[in-house]
Amino acid sequence: MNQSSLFPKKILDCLKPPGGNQDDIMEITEGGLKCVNTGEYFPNEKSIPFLFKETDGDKKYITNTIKDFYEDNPFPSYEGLEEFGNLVNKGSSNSFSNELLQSIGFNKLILECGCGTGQLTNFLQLNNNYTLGIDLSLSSLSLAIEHKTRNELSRSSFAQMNIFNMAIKDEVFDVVISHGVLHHTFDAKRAFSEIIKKLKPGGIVVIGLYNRYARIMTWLRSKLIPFFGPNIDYVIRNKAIDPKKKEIWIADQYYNPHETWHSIGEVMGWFDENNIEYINCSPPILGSHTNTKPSGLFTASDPAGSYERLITQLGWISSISREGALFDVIGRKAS
Amino acid sequence: MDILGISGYYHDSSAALVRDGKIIAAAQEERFSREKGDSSFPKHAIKFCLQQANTDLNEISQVAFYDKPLLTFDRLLETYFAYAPKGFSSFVKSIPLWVKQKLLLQTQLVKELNALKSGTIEPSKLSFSHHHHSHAASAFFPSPFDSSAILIMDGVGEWATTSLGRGNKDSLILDQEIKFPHSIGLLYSAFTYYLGFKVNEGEYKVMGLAPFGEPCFVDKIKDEVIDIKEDGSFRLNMRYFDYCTSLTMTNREFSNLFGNRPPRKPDTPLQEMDMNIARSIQVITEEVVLKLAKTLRKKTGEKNLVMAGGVALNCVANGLLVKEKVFDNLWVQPAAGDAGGSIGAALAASSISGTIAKKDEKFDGMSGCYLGPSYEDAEIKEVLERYNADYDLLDIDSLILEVANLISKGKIVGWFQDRMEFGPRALGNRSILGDPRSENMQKILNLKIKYRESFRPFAPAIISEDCSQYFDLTEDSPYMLIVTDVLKDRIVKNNSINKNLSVTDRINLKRSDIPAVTHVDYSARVQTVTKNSNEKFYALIKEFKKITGCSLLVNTSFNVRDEPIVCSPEDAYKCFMGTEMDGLAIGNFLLRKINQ
Repeated sequence: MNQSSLFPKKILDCLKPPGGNQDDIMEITEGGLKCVNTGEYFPNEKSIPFLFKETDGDKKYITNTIKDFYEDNPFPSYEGLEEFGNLVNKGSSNSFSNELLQSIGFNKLILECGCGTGQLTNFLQLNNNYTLGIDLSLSSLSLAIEHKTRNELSRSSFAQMNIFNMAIKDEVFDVVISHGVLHHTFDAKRAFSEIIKKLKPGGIVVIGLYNRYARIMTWLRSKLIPFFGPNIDYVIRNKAIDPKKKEIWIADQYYNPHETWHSIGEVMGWFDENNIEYINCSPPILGSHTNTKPSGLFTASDPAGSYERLITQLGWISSISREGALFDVIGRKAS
Repeated sequence: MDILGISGYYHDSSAALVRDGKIIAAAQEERFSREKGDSSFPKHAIKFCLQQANTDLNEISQVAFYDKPLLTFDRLLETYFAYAPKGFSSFVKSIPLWVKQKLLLQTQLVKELNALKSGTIEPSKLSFSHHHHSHAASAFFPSPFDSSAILIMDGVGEWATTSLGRGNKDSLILDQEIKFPHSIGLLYSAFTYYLGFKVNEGEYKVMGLAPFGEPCFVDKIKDEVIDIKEDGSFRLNMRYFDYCTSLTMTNREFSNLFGNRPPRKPDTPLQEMDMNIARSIQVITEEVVLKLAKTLRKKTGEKNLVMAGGVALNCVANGLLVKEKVFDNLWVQPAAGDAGGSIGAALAASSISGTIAKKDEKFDGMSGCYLGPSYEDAEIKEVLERYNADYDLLDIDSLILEVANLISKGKIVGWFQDRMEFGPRALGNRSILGDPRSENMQKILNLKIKYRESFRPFAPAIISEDCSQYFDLTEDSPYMLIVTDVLKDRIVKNNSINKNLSVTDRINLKRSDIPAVTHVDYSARVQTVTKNSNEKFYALIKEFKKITGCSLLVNTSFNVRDEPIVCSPEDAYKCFMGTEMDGLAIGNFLLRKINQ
């Protein structure tokens, strides 16, 4: 694989060494990346761009357990999606990813924190967007890069990084996404405050987390699966056909070594502290979309009161709890 | 006199406007609503037709609907009673919808039309044509022939599934028919369903898959499923089908024919057996079409044949009719499916009122199918500005030169010009174009532009006068409805016959010096382009020839998988940006992906 095809220029311009400065310039060299200013060299690890650096405050045991877990269980699997066309069709038929792409629009720079095997990162490079996916797991990233390389995708890119010490300059991305990831870090709130630093003023952040209420059902099932088998899970029964996919889904959902649960109100609190304006929630908060016009994911909606939010989230116990109990909150950074 | 034709409520709704017997506007609803095969009331299409004709409902003399709902209802009832009590569940599901939508159709149509706020229409101005009569009118009246035999084949309309007849000047009669449930269209659809493709859309895929297989199930299907008589008439053995009584096409007995294998699940890998089945049903369809045509020739003594109905879109069978010279001349309605019903209904009404336009021997009445909306440069510019697009505004000669240059360098360019085509094909106004000489063009187009199965073939658009240098075809094929052979001296024989290779490997083998448009069986679905039919497109191919010496381009419709062909500049921009197209020529504007 040609090292230079790993990063498009627009993404390379966003990188710096972990802990480096805004004006640091990175360049591609044989088998790795190099900081032009300091001369520091970052060799690839197993052919994957490697910009990971620990920080002093890290709770290493959680980071390491999670990393080990996803090294063994790269998620999600590419079975049946080897061709980019298949991935596009999957992404277009999934209402969340399709709406996300439509709302993002064209020619944007997108950062996905915790990209796993990079399906969303590879999908969102449609519409002439440039995407960077970062993750802890090398085995996940290698599948991401494998898909990118085989299908000659020129605008998506991947690197291993520490979410608490990203090798990315501040305020360079139009959109920052972290869909179902921060709840596996040792401090979701701190991770959030890190990732929004990378957002340009006026940029959009999309945060997907396990819901405090809806996730209870997953927890219950995790206690029951040893007795009744994996068929009590909706996805196993109805969606995943491939055995490998089933195995990975069960591991990710029921045997994950670390996860935290969150509520809409809690995320709104993070938004306030970090000067992020609340835009929308997916699935929507009950009664928050008052106009009858079909609105996009990034169209401002009413945050509603805490009572409506509670009812909404209790309702999720019988809806999104079937598939991971993940909800997304969308906000805009003050410009 | 203006007549508005409407087809709808079944699949692929459309509207057409016929003025003094001449088609001046026609469009499918899906292009506006952006919902593939949209079957709802074609309000956008009607609005467009009225606008294009600069008129409103007050001025319309007649509104012609393309079928007779009562007769179809009659078929549904009789079919149910013939099979009762089997099929009760599908019966109760479909009947309320029918009663509501179709029996009350007259009231509903008037209501929907008047809701367009484009004038008003009196219920007395509504007329209903027989389904196959609409198809026949759409095939005969726009054809360049003064008299001809007529062959209509589709899934089902009211009762008839196959109709034979003849047309003369301003009248036509259909005097022989095969009735439901015996239907060659439904048979093909049943196999489409069994092979894991969507009925009414996936039939093309079966046809595209067929050359990869061997016709090894032909005898079995003829022994068990269909009885074809010498004159081409046929009967199906209803033991194997469920479409009379249920919402699926085939049943377990059908699966038993093929070693107990259940229908293929969509998006699972295609097996050799799927290809063999596809080939077998294709061969059977060709046999029926050929025999019916021969019977018709004998019976009518006509030199010309016109066809419509969904089966007439089987361009491999059409190619065979041409090759075997069953008739001296063949003309197929390019919108042969139900979309064309609106044109047919309107023309049938015109013929009754005696206003059919006089025919021109040289040109048919379809205006090259360029019957849809067009957009001014100012409108296009407004869209491009709204999206902050980077563009160059060129004069038409420079635009053609630039685009031809890009394509000659292996780039893929969206080509959006003038009026949109009517019917399923893009014919050079809403097209994606590529270099046919490129060995990986088919793969790139399928996987990075159209996002569809890699076996799907592509078609060439060739300047008419050079056609015989590339293909075994002497007549014009302006609507891409005839499959013909690539000339022997252009073919590269290789191991593509080797069935052990995967589909992808076989596609990647070079088959000729125009590999991107040569099917695995060395055939091609040709569109011939003349200066008269499409001046800009003709000039573009000419320019490409000047640069490369090659007289043709890959021409595929401007859309991605499962989406309707683009209609407006906004659709075109979104499709351009959503795929790996390198350039977009829209009106006089040229966009390059690298500059966006």
